[in-house]
Amino acid sequence: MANADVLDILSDTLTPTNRGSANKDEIIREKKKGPKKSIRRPEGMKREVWSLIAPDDRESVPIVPTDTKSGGNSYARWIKHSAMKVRPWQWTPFNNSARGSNDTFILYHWQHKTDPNDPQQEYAFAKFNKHVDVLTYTDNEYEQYLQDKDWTRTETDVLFELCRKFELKFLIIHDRWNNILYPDRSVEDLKERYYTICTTLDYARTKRHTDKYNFDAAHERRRKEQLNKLLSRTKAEEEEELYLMNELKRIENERKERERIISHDVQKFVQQQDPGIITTTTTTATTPIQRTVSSSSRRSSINQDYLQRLNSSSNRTPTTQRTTTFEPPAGIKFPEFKRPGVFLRSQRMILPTSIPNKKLAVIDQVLKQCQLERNPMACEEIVDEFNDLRSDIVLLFDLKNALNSAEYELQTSLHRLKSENGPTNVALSSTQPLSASSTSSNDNSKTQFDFLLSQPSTPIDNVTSPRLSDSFEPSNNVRSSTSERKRRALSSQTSTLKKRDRQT
Amino acid sequence: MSTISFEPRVPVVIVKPILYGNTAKHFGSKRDSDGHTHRWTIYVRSLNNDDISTYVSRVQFRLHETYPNHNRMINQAPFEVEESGWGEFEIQITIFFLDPNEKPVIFYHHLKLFSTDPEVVTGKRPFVNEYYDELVFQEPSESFAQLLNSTKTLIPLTDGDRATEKEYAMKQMETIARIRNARQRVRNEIQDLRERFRITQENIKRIRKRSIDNNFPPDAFIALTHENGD
Repeated sequence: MANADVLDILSDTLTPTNRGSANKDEIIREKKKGPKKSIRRPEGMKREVWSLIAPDDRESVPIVPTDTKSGGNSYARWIKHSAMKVRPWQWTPFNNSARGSNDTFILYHWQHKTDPNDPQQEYAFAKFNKHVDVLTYTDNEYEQYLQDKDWTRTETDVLFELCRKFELKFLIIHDRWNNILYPDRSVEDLKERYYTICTTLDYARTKRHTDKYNFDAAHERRRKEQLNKLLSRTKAEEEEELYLMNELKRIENERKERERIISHDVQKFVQQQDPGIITTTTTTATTPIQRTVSSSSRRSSINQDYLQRLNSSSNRTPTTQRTTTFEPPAGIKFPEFKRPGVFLRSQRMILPTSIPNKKLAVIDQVLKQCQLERNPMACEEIVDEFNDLRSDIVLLFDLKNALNSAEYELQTSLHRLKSENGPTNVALSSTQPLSASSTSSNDNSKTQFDFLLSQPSTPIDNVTSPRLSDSFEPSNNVRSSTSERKRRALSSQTSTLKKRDRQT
Repeated sequence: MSTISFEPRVPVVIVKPILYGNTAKHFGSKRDSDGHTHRWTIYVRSLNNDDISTYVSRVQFRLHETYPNHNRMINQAPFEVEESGWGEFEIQITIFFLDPNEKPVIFYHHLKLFSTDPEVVTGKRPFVNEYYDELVFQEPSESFAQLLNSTKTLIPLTDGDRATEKEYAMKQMETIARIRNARQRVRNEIQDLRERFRITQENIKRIRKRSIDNNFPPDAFIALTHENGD
């Protein structure tokens, strides 16, 4: 339809309002389509750059800049010129003055035809023929300032001649250096000699220090040696280096993880209060309900205490920020029924689905060990105690994890300290229930260190029955620790440290 | 439809202990016609044989789809379904209450037919798979509260019933004792681990401080790794 074509052509300039007799439906459709999301400018990009490449806006800037020469009419001018005759070119011979005056080599090239009367222009590229000005010294100057025990006068003269000839291209100079007549010199030696002469001469002549000829031969030698080493690494060495870097990164990450685990749970662990509470969020007593719930009275006071501890705790700012959300510090939150209605008691015993599988398995394990069934009969007391018990189990599990991380951290710190500093006297208290003498600070440090290093991660407790927490699986983030594996990891860490020290 | 009447709620909590579960009895042989091997009954009843129809209007048992009419609605006491079958499945039980404002309570029971108990296998004891639970009525309306509080026994308590009551009471005490025991153990361990954790942390702090004093701060180590574009 012709109308559609016209509309299409004019669609850029038409807005829905000035379309005149658009019917109501179209306008509504337009409105509906209207708030079409335009693509947002990516954050790092400047506004102007984005406006250049933004997809078709109505207000986009044209990509091709307009031509402002000849009043914006350069196209017209070009048309005009294209009607003229072609400018003539000529095949002319030319000289290159850079080649020297007694040079008879003649080359040809195309040039615009010029008047034969005009003086011939210099070859355009001759001006790039730069030369280096190498200093010269008189005999007097040599005797006075430039004597050197390693270098004879002839050697120095030869060096300077080469410098002049090869324009201070020291690699060539070094290649041309006659190591039969004169002792073998490296590039750095030659450079060193040249630059010291230049600085001394300069100072002697102008009595002023400049930084013009700064050259650090020792540094250069080291730098080149290192580059050579880098270049000549064998494949095996390179792989080993990469491997070590990765190991280092990994160890660092693990350490950060451990830090996180330890510090994250510090709040709940360091509390001095009764651990096995807070299974449900507290409510201030709304309506006086005749409940015989045992621990509700404790709960409100405990949350107060908890908040106080948060505010007064020490340097753990990240964790305090995290735990100011009013979460129970440990344990499981069981479903609680506050609204009026009918409920089945066992519904309060259902474990929330947010508990990860590992914790579920742990709970089951402990219950089995204590000869309890998973869903005991659902009377009030039992439900409360049972929920609290499960909360405690989860807390125990978390605590065990954190303890493992902390102990591993301790071991690595000890190893690191020991390998760096040799035997030092560090008064460390033992977590073992052993005699007091081993914890005194005047002990022979070496034995104390070794004692701590060889300490098994779980203490040997002959008195009480086997602990529930011993049957927990080794935790997730920290490496499961057989002592051998620990030692391997630690030794690789220390060797990484040593290698880094060697390289820098 | 039930009239929507707003009744004031009584701020009490009324607890009604119930028992639900199934009994099962083996035929002795597999019935040829449909392969059924057991006769089972699923039921919901009160612990001490009260008449729960004072507050329960009906109980719906939803059986396996292969049963004809698998939604069995029982409108009067005793609230039970007796059937025969060969397999175990989960039954959804819904208890509707006389108060129309109260929502029905839904729970599940896994129908158990087989047992390894030798006495059950020989047929000396019927197989009972029963659970104790409690219906907790929180802030019921006044009239409903009255209904709840007016219990009347269904039939005079038999010795068997009394025995069950005693059994459950004992079981309750036992369970509580065991749970309390377990809690004590767990709490002790928590205390212990806590102490160890605290000590370990202190040790770590001391070591760190020592290594700082020895002019090799662990922070420099971290700084080194950052230098290399970590």
